[in-house]
Amino acid sequence: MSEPRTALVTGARKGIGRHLVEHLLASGWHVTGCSRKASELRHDNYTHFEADVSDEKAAKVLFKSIRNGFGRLDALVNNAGIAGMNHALLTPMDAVERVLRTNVMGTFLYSREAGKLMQRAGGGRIVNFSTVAVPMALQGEAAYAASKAAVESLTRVLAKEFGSLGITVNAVGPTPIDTDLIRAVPEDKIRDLVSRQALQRLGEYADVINVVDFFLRPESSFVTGQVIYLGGVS
Amino acid sequence: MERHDLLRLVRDTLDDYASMMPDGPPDTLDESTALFGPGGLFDSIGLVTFLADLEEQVNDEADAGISVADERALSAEKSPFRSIASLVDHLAARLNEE
Repeated sequence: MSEPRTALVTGARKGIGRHLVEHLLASGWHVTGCSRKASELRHDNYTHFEADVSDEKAAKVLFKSIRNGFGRLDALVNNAGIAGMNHALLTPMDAVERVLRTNVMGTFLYSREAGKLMQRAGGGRIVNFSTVAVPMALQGEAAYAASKAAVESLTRVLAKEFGSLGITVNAVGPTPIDTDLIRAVPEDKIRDLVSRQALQRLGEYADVINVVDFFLRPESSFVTGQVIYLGGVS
Repeated sequence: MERHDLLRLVRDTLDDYASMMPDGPPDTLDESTALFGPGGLFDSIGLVTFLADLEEQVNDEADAGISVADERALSAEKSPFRSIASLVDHLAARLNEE
């Protein structure tokens, strides 16, 4: 029997991350998750770390544990993210910094550490999270959209840097889903946003998991540097 | 870590990366062996992956957190990655700074 595949999911405590962890566990993966707070999820093949993804020391501890425990990492899903909805004129710099630290630096840091582990095993998969706010250039989301534009750029550059190591790097760009991230957004804003999609409905967890699954499939080894938006947004 | 420990670690890690050496592993390996550049063991991506692995192994063994290829190392007039000797000296210096 072949060894189970191992995945690391950031932002694993709730929302998309939590659903993705449960999906991977059900598919036979061994999963490590992290978030700033403890997780209530209990499963024989799940390990949770309390770690802020922009904390380099915490990342080193986490990756060392994966290295010592599994000896390898097959997939990293950089799901952890924070949003900020505010007009640019009113956005304090500490809010901008928080968004950039988690979304950009966190994705960079975890991709770098995962890349080290994966290259030794001859390859792996990295899936990043963008958003339709990037192509839609949504007002009120300057810091968030800019951070995710950086994630898209990172995705494309890392795809090239990691390509010869057998590591693919792709991104999924979800539409709004009913998660904590959009709970603070006024309903009419969400309605307006959805009306600009080719497929006019809110996204569901399964929509996102489907794209992540596609990137993780062994048959997707020739797919890298791509950003797939949901809902027909381009 | 003593210098001879670092040298052993570099040699052991080089053994693991023999398959990434474009011209294959050299017949003899000594401190003057060039890692990169004309006649070097690695091309650029080979050197990067070797250094990333070596960094982890050094940090594990020394219980340290050094960065092997930070801006200071990359902008040094004489690259610390030019030979095995310079790499070992570089590692020793970084560990000393911790």
